[in-house]
Amino acid sequence: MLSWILVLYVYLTLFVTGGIAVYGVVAKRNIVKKIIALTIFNDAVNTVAIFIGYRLIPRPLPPIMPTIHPNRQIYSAFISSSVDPLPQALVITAIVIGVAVTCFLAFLAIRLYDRFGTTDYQEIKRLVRGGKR
Amino acid sequence: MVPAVDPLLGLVVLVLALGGFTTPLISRLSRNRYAVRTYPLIYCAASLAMASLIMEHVWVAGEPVVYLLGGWRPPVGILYIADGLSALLGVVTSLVMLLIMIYSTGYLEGSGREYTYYSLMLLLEAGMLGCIYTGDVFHLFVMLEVTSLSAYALVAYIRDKREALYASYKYAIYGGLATTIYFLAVLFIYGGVGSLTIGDIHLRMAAYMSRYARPVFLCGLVFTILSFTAFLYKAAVFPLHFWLPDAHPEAPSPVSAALSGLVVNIGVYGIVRFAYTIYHGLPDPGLYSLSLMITGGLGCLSSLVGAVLMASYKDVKRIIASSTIMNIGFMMMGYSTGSPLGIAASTLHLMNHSFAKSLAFLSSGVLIKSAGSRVLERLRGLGRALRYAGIPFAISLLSLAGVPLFNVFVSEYLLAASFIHTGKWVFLCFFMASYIISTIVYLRILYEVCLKTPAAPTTHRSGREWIPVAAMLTALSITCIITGILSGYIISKIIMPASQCLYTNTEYLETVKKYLLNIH
Repeated sequence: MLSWILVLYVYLTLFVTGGIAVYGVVAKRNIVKKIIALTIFNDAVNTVAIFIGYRLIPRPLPPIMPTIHPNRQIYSAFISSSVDPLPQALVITAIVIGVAVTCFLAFLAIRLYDRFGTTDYQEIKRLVRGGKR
Repeated sequence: MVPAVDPLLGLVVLVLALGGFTTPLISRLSRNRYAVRTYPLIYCAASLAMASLIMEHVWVAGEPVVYLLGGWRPPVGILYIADGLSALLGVVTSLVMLLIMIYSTGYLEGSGREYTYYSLMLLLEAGMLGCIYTGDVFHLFVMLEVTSLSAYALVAYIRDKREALYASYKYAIYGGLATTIYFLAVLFIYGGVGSLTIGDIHLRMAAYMSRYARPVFLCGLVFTILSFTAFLYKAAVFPLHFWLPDAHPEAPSPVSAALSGLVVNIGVYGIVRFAYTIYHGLPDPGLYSLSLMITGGLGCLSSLVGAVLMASYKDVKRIIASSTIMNIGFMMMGYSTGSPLGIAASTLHLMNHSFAKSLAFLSSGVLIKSAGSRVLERLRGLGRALRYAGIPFAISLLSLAGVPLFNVFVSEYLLAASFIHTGKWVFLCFFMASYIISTIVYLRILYEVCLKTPAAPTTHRSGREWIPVAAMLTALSITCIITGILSGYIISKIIMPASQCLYTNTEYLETVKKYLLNIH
């Protein structure tokens, strides 16, 4: 019972964190804070992935075969109690991609500050639009 | 019994990525400017040859061809699969990319740091072809990120331009959010169904629906909403189109052509693949009709919003970019009719729009560079002064406006026919309204740029670097006219089989089933 409440709590926390992060990306005015919110969202989603790998097993084991010569019984015990390694592989890929996107955005933020002298998104928008209309 | 595995499918993406990563190296090793320009073209030409061969293999085999990455079978390994639609899109993408790259060799003369441009363009093409040929939802995420990251960087290619930096930041921050949301969608479908292969997801959903109808439906619902959010962002469909009028015009013209003509297609392709291959033919048709409803409703709004935006701008590139929003709306409406005729019309429109839109951007790029401004008044009569760009620009505008004899007319006519055929009168109303508004705008640009007498004599440049530009503009113009004249042949030989295969989806699923690893 307690473990179910804990699992529910963890998922709830992650989704609330993700929701706040999305709000941060959309609503924050500072371009660096927008990037930080995006990385928080990435991390929340990655943690969800890890938890999906745990498959709600009561006592999860690492995905490593205990013997070199397994038989059918060991296989079935392994499959029923080990953590699914695939979401972890997905998370590694997603983290690497997230680093690339964050790097690029950080570069853009530096360039934007360089060219506009401000980190306020609305101010930048006003300066860009003001020059045109 | 088992059809031959086609290694070209896996090779084409790898070859392009290799080209993308070695281009900066070549520019270090060789001080010759021509080497840096011709080296990427080799890869583009090779990818076009490979995509054409893949299309021929699909045509000869009469069923989808596959490639198993690393030899691992589907639910465990990654599957590359090409059916009629992906083969066609692959050829269109690599053909237009090759023309854009040759055009760039002349257009970018003297801009400096050219190798970064060619490197990013090759990676963009690698990402797009990966998205098109993959049969795995997570691999699609990776390739989507490769495409997007190259696209963000290309928008900010002129990195001292303030507008370009702002547009790139806007595109990248919301794009990063959209692709992460897609990753969340992938996690939901993996947690719910236990597979990442597109065909296998359909088979498993169909199997589980008999016992667990409600949980599978809920999982599919969340998956649809999250993944469609990402694809609608990439395709710039109405509520998520806000980045496009900034990002597409601020890039250099050849990049605008690639983004507006090709990259938006990836979003449309993703939606179509999910709606027809995963949801069509499930025991419970709820998800299928839901996805068509989202596509159709947003497509209607998108077409009208695109047309109104077109009428509101004075900047030529912004007008042409907004017309992309409208045309994507047309394609979404056609795909959401759920009939083979509508799918065929939309597929044809996808192809025709790619040719006409990239021609419009490439030819307007020459005029804009000569005038030094993008405002319509400043371009008055320039089309008559610079004939080699003015005539292709006129052809692209006439084609986009849907004038008979040109290619877009055929696909728009077929779209209207499919709306009447399936009794979607609301679609027809939205279609006609945006069609009329957009035609007026196109013809106004045509009149201003190509028919009026020039206000002042322009500086006439006739250097050697304009030879590839003029040649590519001519080639794309001829493509626009030829695909218009031969559209009957193209529809019957290429488009109809592709849309039939997409609509029934049994061939695709049978092919995936053949390669599935039998776990039980």
